[in-house]
Amino acid sequence: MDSGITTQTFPLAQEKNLPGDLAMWMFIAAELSVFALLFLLFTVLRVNNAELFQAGQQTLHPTAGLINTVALLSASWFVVQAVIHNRNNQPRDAALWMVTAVLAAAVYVGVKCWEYWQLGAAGYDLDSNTFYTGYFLITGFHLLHVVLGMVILVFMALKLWQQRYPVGKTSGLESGACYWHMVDLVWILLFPLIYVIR
Amino acid sequence: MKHTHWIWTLLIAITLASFALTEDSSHPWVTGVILLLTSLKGTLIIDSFMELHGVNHWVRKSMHLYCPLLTVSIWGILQFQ
Repeated sequence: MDSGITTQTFPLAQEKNLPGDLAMWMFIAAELSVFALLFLLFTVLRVNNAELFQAGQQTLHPTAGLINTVALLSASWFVVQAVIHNRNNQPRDAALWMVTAVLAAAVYVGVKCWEYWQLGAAGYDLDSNTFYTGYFLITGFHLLHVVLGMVILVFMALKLWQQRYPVGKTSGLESGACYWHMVDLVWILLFPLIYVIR
Repeated sequence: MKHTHWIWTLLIAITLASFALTEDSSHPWVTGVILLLTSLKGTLIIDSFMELHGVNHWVRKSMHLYCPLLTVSIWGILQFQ
């Protein structure tokens, strides 16, 4: 018998889903773990070779590190803008934001290469001492991640231009964006450890 | 993903603040402040740029543990210097 009472379901407060693919987050976790180990190893080596590390830090260019921090933070913000514009059905604008992010990342690569060139010209390389081994390994490993990130950003810019991230199919875009933010996050930790803390 | 330009401005401001502490960074408490600021920057990136704010998932919890754990470990090791 119909009591005349209708049941209505009210959705619970909408819970946000994890952006991107879980597989990408597993990859990010693995990458962050490797970098954490490298940072801890660098810190331990620094404690055991305090004078050597202080002398090594004097040969670096903290302003270059600062410029690179601004470049990577800006690149991350540009990627965020690309994701937002795609979500607002403006994929072509999103593609342009993504290209801007690539340009900001290129500033980072340029400054980092200049730093390496400067150190090389002064006679410092991977074998010079423990400080330079740590410095070149950590920053070089990070640079490789930046270059890979740039390739991903270019790929995503092309796909955005072709409007291939429609609503509901943005997982790849979000995964790529999160990878880029991971690269940024690693630099945020690397910058004070190598350039700022004396 | 709201007000991300303010998040970017805050991140730059924190970066400049910690950079300004470079000359005094041999003091343990200054090192602590720099690492605290670093951890704060990490949290801002994780929540705002990675869009993990409001996500109830172990990934967010793990990500939020990463920066504080790592910076505290680094600060602890540096105290043996």
